[in-house]
Amino acid sequence: MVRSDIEKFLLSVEKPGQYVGGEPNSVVKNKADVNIRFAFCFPDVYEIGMSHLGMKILYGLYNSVPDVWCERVFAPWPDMEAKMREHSIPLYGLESGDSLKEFDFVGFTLQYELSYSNIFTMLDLSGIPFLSADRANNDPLVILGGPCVCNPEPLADLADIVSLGEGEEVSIELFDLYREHKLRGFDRQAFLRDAAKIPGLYIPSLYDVTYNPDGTIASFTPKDGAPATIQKRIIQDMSSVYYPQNFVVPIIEIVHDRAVTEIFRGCIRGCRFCQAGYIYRPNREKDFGTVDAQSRSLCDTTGYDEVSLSSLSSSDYTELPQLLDNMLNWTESSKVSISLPSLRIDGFSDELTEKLKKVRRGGLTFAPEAGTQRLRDAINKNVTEEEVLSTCRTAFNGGWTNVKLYFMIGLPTETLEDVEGIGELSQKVVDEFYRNPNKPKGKGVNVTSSASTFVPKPFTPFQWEPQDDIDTIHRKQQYLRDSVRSRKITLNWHDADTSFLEAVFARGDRRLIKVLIRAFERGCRFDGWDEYFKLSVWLEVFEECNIDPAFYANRRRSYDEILPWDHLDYGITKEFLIREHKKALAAETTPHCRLQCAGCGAAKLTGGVCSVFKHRNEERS
Amino acid sequence: MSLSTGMKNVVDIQGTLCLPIRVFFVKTGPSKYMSHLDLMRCMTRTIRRAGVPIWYTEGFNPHPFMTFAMPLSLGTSGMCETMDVRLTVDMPFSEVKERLNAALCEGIEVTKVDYQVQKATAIASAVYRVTLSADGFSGGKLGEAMEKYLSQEKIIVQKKNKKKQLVDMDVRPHILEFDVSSEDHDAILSIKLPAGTSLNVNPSMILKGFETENSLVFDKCDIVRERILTESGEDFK
Repeated sequence: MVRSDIEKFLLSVEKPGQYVGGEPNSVVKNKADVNIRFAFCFPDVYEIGMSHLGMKILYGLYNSVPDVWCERVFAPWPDMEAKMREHSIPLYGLESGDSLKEFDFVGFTLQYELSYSNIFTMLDLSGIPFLSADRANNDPLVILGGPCVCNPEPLADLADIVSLGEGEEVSIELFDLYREHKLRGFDRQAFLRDAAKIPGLYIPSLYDVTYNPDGTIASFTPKDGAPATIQKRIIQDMSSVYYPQNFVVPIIEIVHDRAVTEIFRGCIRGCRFCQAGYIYRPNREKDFGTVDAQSRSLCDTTGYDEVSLSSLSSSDYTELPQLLDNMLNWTESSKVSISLPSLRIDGFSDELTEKLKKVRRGGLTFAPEAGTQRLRDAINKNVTEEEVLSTCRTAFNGGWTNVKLYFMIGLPTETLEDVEGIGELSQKVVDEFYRNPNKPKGKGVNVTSSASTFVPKPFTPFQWEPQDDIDTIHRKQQYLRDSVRSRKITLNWHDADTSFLEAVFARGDRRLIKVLIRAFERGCRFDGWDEYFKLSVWLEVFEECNIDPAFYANRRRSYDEILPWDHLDYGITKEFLIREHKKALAAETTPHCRLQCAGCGAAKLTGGVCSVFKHRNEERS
Repeated sequence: MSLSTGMKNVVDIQGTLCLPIRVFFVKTGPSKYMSHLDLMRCMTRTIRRAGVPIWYTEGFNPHPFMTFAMPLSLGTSGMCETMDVRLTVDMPFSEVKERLNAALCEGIEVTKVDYQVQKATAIASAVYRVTLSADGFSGGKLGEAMEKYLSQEKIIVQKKNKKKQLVDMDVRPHILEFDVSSEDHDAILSIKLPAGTSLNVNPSMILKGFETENSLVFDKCDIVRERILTESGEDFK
């Protein structure tokens, strides 16, 4: 519903449609029937947050519980924030228009380190204290989830509860506990102590941290009976887990404006730079019949004419040909197009190409990630130059003329030769086009090569690695620019400044909370957006707080250092990560999970037998 | 083929039914913050959700054939909006209306489904009702100022030309009718302006001109397009 007090200025802000709610399939409940009000907060703008699948799943799930009402909240753009402050309007849930302060839970999903500053804006606009310790008994409980909570420590003092891993089951258990506590007179501390007993819930206030003189962590001690390590939660059976039957259909355009179905979670690949490839393990597929039925139902209830099959690496889905065959049966007649993001270069068979032609004819995007075979081996991106080129050949034969290549700069063990390799590989793709006798007539080729900056992340084999400092990255970017001469190649590179800040918070510890608060006070907002990000302000804040950001971003850590996230258990073991790290330094590859188990440890999450092998055994029997 | 609606058979090249209909709807509340592009996306999805089969273009990239007679500016409500589509099954108009209304978002409501009686080029003018308030003004006082402003011999306002430059324009000759009244703190302006394909005058540029002239900023400026009229002064059908 539209709050009447925002209407008088709503037309003076950008995209006012994002602040009014009322979208089809949004859920409005009668407050009298509701015991638990949950504000699902996405700390970025509406058009980004509304594109996020996790939010759609949990929104649907929570609202499927009769006495739970979940609403959506996004970060207001700075123009709207200014108007809200001018008119003393609190941040509100889009469905009810009520202030966040009236909710039982205020949950933030952490998708990206550079959205942290927006969390402070959102709490501040709601009048909710920043620190867990400062909140009163009746203040909302602030709960964090999402991929970045695999190291929640920079926000540990802000969070009342951190939910590790997949949220479908644990949230319901948390609601049950909350209902119980509310009935017998709610005491916040007692509730949090009980919540700590639910597997997957981490209560940061129940742990004390001490530091060594050199700034590293000396000890991490649980108290009040809290467990020493907290294991993430996963869903065992993807085919039977809750999936929403409809999505809220936005009235303004959003970034990913389409139906989405998940085909699997986790990834079999183990690319060593990729956090998602490790923290979502083990790989679990949803059966194709379920995906097909869910896709169809979503298109019916949303009216979308595009459905995207979501996963970390679509071509690794074992039932992809069957799935596409089934879906094409109904999508063609109902004028729905299927999109299949995250295709791997080596998974691009002729058969698949044929099917994809019917599916969609967008650009082709490949991610070799590194320019030389040595470096691709070091990062375990098991893709050869010949595979890249032969896939491009297939694509050019099929009439494609645009190819996008994704690379990274600053990967561990990288030399200038590897940087130069990015330009060389791009050039070879261009040459491949002109060598092709069947190339589309009268058309040139356009290869867009994007080089982002590597950010070492927790729970990857590179978690101990220093990030290249900003000057080094700039030098490498310059070197790359100089090495590309063809006008057929468009070169993009990512701003090194934002990657630096991302690296600080990705592997930060509890001491960073004061930096975040101070940065908010200094006006930092939407740091993931170039037009708002100012590294100079952040550097001043680090200095004011007497914290050296290079300590977090650019320092090599030893294997025996206590890392800020060591008390969190994402299934994969440190021994495995050390093994992988050593192999990376020796440029040795590790085969993917289906070829050979690398013993990462995640099998314990599915009862000792990894779901990858369960699946294979079922196929055999 | 005889249709439940009594219309003669209308078919496309391939012989499938293709009946041009006009959907009349109101657009208020949260949906007034939908831009015209947003509205087109919204209607496409609504029609799909509602299961009202409509005709798609037959080009390389088929899309629903859908036209709107008079796009509405962002923030302006409309009581007599129209959308033209072509039905591909014989479905009673009452059912089309019901199905669409069950699927529509908050603020949009179909009021009538009918044949396309007139062409969009028949549109000549539109009547707007504007509710205004400004800090420090009673409704009466604000109304008086508006009355005085609109009664000038020349009303120079700024208008963006095709090159997006602001140019001065005398809007007085285009004000076909107006009436000002007041209610408590609000002044209510009813104004009839040229609309359609040849000349279209948006009330917001007159309101902006008034703000500049009187050095004030409206607290409330709620614009509703109440009627769309043809040359003869009848409602567009």
